Amino acid sequence: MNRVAYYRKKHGLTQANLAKSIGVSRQTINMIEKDKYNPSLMLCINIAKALHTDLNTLFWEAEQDEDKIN
Amino acid sequence: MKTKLINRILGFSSNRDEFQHQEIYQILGHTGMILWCISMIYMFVRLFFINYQQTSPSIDYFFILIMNLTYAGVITIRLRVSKVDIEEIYSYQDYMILKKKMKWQAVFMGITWGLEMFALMGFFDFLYTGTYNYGFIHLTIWLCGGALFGTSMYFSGKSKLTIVE
Repeated sequence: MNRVAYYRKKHGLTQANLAKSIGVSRQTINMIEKDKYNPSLMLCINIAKALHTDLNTLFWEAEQDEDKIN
Repeated sequence: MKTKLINRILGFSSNRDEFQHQEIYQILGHTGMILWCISMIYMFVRLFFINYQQTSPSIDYFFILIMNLTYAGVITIRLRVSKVDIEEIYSYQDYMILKKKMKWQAVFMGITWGLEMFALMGFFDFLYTGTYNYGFIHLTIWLCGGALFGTSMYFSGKSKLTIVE
C-alpha cells in the first residue's frame, strides 16, 4: 500500500486539492491511493513534488522488502 | 488530434488525464472487439438466409464485409508498426522449440480450417441448391486451401519471433 493518502492528509490536502495542483482528476488520486491504478513515472514525480517528499517515501514498500530478506 | 476526436465523440468538454485515458481506451477497445464479433456473426447469419432464400447478397452486405476486413487489417498493420506483436526470445534453443511448436500448430490449423470450410460450404451449397454435391474433389480443394492458410499463418507467426542476443 502506498503512502500518498497519509502524506496528503499530513499536508492538510483533500484529494480534490492535490488533484488540482498536479492537473489530474480527483478520481485518479483516489485510484492511486487505493492501489487500483499504477501511475506513470511523471505523475508519481508530480505527486511527490506536490507533497514535498520523494518517490521512495511515497511508493517504496520497505517493510515488505525487509520481511522478504529476513 | 486523437484527444480532440475522443472528446468530440464521447462528448467531453475538457481533456482527460492519464488514468481516464487508459480507462477510455480499454472501454473503446473492448466494445470495438465485441462490435466486430457481433457484425461477423450478423454477416454469417445473413449468409445463411441469403443461401436459404436463394437471393443475392445486397450492396450493404459487401459494405459491411469491406468495413470488417479493413478494421481487421488496420489493427494488424498498426500492431505490427508499433511492434507490440513481436515476441522476443533470448536463446536459439528456445527459438527452435517455439518454431517447432508453431509448425505443428500451423498444420493443425490448416487441416481444421480446410475441414471447417468444406463442411460449411457444403452446407451453404445444400441450402442454395437443395442437393448435396460436395465430394472428394471439394475436400481436396479445401484441404489445399487449408494448407495455404496454415503455411501463411506459420510464416506470419514466425515473422513475429525475434531472437535477442
